[in-house]
Amino acid sequence: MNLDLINLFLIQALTIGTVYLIATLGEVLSERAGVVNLGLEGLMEIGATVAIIVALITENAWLGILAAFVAAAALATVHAFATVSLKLNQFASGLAIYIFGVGIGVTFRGYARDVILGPQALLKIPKIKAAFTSIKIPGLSNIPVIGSLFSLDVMAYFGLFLGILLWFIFYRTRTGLNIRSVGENPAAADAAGINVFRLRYITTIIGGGLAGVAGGYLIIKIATQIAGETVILGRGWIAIALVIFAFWDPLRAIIGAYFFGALEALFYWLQGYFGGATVVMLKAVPHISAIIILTIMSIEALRKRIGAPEALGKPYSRE
Amino acid sequence: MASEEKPPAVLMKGIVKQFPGVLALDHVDFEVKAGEIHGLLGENGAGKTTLMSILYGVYKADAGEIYIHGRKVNIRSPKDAIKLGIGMVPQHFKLVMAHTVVENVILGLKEFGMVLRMKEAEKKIVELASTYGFKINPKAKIWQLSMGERQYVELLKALIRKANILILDEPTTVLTPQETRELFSTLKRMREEGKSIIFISHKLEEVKELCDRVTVLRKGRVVGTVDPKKVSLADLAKMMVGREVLFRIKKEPRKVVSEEPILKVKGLYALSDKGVMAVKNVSLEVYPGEILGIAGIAGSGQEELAEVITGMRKAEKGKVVIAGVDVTNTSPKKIFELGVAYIPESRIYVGTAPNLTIWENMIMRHHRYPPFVKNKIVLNLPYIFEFAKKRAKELNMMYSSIFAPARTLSGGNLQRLILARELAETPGRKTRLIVAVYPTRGLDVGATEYVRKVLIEQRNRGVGVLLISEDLEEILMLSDRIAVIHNGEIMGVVKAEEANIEEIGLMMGGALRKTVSEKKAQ
Ligand SMILES: Nc1ncnc2c1ncn2[C@@H]1O[C@H](COP(=O)(O)OP(=O)(O)OP(=O)(O)O)[C@@H](O)[C@H]1O
Ligand SMILES: [Mg+2]
Repeated sequence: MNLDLINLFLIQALTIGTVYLIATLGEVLSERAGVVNLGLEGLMEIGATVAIIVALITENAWLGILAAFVAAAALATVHAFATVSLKLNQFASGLAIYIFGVGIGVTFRGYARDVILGPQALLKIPKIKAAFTSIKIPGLSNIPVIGSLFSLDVMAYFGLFLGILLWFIFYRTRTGLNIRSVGENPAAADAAGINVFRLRYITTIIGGGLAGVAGGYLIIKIATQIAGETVILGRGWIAIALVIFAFWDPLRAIIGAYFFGALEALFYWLQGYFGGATVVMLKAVPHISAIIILTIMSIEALRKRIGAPEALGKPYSRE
Repeated sequence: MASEEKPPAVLMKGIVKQFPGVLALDHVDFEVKAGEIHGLLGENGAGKTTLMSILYGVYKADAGEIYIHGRKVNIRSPKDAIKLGIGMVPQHFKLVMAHTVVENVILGLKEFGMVLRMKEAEKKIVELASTYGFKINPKAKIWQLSMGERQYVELLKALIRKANILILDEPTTVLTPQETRELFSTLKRMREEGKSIIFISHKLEEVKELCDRVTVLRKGRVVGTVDPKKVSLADLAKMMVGREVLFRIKKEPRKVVSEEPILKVKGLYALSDKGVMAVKNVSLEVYPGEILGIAGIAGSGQEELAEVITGMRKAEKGKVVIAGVDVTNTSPKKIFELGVAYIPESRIYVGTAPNLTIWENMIMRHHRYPPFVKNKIVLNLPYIFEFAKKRAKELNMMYSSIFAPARTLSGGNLQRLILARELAETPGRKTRLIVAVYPTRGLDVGATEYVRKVLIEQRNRGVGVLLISEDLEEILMLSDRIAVIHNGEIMGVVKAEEANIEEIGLMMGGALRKTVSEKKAQ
């Protein structure tokens, strides 16, 4: 194999890894405060749609990413309202967000492509993609093979930074202690004067917004045209499963996300050699993830054993 | 003791609290002097927790006034209460199990900065603890701590917030005698410092030993405030319940009903929630018509043992045989059908479904069988409502309506609800074995007497009883044979009439092992 191929593989792995990472970290934030959001897939889809439309209209990828954050955060607010204020079942609300998000995201993207943007918009795609060209760290990026690890794009650096930042917030700051306590035992946090509802709203909204960013980054980074079908392809479900595999720890999430990124990239390469069978396997992964998520989440003893936040999925009321 | 000219630390006047269907507090006047330990006594559901919740800002009173150190105050939330120097150690601890002691204590405090200065916080906690004569490892996780230590964490939470009025709601229910003594010396030290302490308990001896004055509540009204040193235990009990209470229960000698054990456990191993081996090679037998008491410090594996027997937890190794049927790792349903009644430790989560109504909780597990169900599917509601009301009455429950959610019941009444359900006999099912885990924990003297009577009655009728309790006196009073458990292992089995408290204490602590021959109970 030649070095360029390895480099290409690594870049692909890190790009997909970054998508996983940002989405996973958003879910970690939300779940640490006790709110499961099964709607990640839908939030990413909405994020992708809003990002590409706004980026193409304004000719600015960053505005697209920002808009993706806002749009997904807005939809996550609905989830927060349903689960925190109305105390509805988090699974049910999350699934509704998932279906709504994917449906609206895909439909609206197709509509925007055909009606709002028009064919000449496609010509602007290379321009907005330029925002995510790699930044080479002088010296290190010239090392053969692993050099690509030091020539990531801004979002990849942002993902890494976010992971470390979240870890620091969780384990070193007062806010982090508050978030973790709310996720473990909201009654204890409430008695200590912490506003459980406000904190859960904030983490759910920011966490959802990050899923939007992940979706936005994905579409802009890989787009060659504006797809009229889903671009997320079940990665939202894998991100939720990654939260579990990372044991709700942001640093472990970094490792897990890159690992899955590499795995997915590997599948694409194998596809070249083996064809259809690998695609079927790849397509099965999100479904398997969903089954694993739902199984683990519903077995109380298992959740305890793997250290899930104790109050995860449970609405809080003062009585 | 308090000097006369100082205003009382707490003065509550004419407090009224109406819950839907229950008048929980009916014009209650309550006064705590500065620097005294004031006992608060009353039956289950008398309103003790409600009164204290109003003082701590959790509930709002419908009428009445509160004065703190002579100043009229309006307490709208626990935050207000904390600002006034009031601290509360709740009946059910509010701690984050997965977090450390420091993390729990400083939760919600601003004084250690945004980026937490953990070292400083740890030091402060250790110092604070030693001021009051106890030790605590600030880095330990709460789930690793004993109940006594958890209590200290709750105390530290109040102390670090500079509480000088401390409310302790049934602090000793979950403590061993040793831990209780340590807590008392801590509380006495706090009193010397001029702090005022409100102490709620059902254990009259404790109140007599510790408190300077006692206020007794009955059905939401104040019966009176007395000096506990000047009245007898029997008088206190009578003030609470309104009738004479038996402290000792007569027990006839055991009649041998059958030589076949109703419960046989052989070489049993089981894991705790955390995945450590909690039950290790336990073998024991319970015969019809006997009470086998299991003595041991709470958390020695007895809860897990009971869960395996009732099918709520998996056995890793070994066998459980009930009435001749091997039920190892079958279902709670099958075990229930064999006539096993289970009085679990965790009333709120295992024993009841807090958000369901009282009647629903009352027929849970029975609801699959006639006459609770007609044609196998339709619930026989008229019969069920009648049944629920009848059982509630038989157990003397205090409740607003059978349609109210179970969580509105006081701690003691919740326990009665479980008893009412588990001990109910229906045409299709006779009770043959009772597994009772801490059955009188948190019950008032009247209810305790009742539960003990029920257990003995059932034994006399030929039911086998496995009684798990950390109250040695209870074990000695009720059991025919006593097995002592330490760290998941049975240290020995002794006959109750030959039992010696010293010896059992040593076995509980793991310092003594007695191997007895596998002889049948006589
Ligand atoms: N949130 C609530 N809603 C409705 N009723 C309630 C509520 N809380 C308490 N009650 C009722 O108020 C009464 C007093 O309850 P409280 O918890 O104060 O009793 P207690 O004296 O602390 O009893 P125990 O010794 O069993 O803890 C009980 O009849 C209880 O059912
Ligand atoms: Mg109470």
